[in-house]
Amino acid sequence: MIASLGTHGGFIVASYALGFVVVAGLVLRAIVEHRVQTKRLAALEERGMRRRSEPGR
Amino acid sequence: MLRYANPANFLAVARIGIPITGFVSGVLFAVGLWMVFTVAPADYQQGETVKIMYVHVPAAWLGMASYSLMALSAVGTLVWRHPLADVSAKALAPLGAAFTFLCLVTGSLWGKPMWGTWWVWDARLTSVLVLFLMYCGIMALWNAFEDPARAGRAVAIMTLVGFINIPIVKFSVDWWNTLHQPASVARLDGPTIHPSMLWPLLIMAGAFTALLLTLHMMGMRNEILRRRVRTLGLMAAQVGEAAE
Repeated sequence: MIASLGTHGGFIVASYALGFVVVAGLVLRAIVEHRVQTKRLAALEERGMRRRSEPGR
Repeated sequence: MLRYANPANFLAVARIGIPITGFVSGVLFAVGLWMVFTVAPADYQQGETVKIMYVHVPAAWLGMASYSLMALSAVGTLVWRHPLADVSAKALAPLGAAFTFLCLVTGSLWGKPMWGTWWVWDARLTSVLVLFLMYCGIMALWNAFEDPARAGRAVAIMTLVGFINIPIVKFSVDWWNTLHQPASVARLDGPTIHPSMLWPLLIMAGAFTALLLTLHMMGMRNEILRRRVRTLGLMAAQVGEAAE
């Protein structure tokens, strides 16, 4: 496949591979961070902590 | 817009918006990559190496767009004390840094076979490197403060001062003699790229933009949760102290 991209195929593949790694990294980071913060928030709420602005308080 | 200034309202909007923009981004990436590797022709001078453009150029646009959005958020923080403005700015900084990094490295990978060098200190390349370093400085400043509100104001001032670099990046190829080529898409007299290359480029740019919107909403949602965790953590610490 790289050969079909001409003499500089390696540069093209490296560019797209890096693009994939950066995009996948950003998406994964956002998903993992959301899970971590949601768990922390749930743990605090389980201990009875509620924000003043929260309804029902 | 102001209706959604409330973080709770924003979270409701993000719950719907994230899957929609994520789906749009995925579809545009599929179409764009298909066009790049099957429809778009090789350049008469650069050959297939021109395919790097379809990653490099959208990454460059998003690097600058993220900073411009951060500057708008900074105005929101300093002038209106908008409750979501610094949340928005904080979520954008790592995204802008990542896209600027991608732009720099793919530019280097494009430059080596075409110019014969990985890097030159010309005005365009140097100003984009400065943009990347500014993102790094802004992320460091966010982490230097314990209180996110104080950090938000300091970062907003730094962001607005650094905004001077955005027109320098954009017009560097017109103001100075650079090895980097002049603008060929965003020009007053219209694009100079053939439509067979312009369309895949615009679709890839659309895919990257939808991705930025998705990641921005995800980042803002995470920052709102992080601040809630911080507030409740402080309350829990106070309750613990009072009980002792």
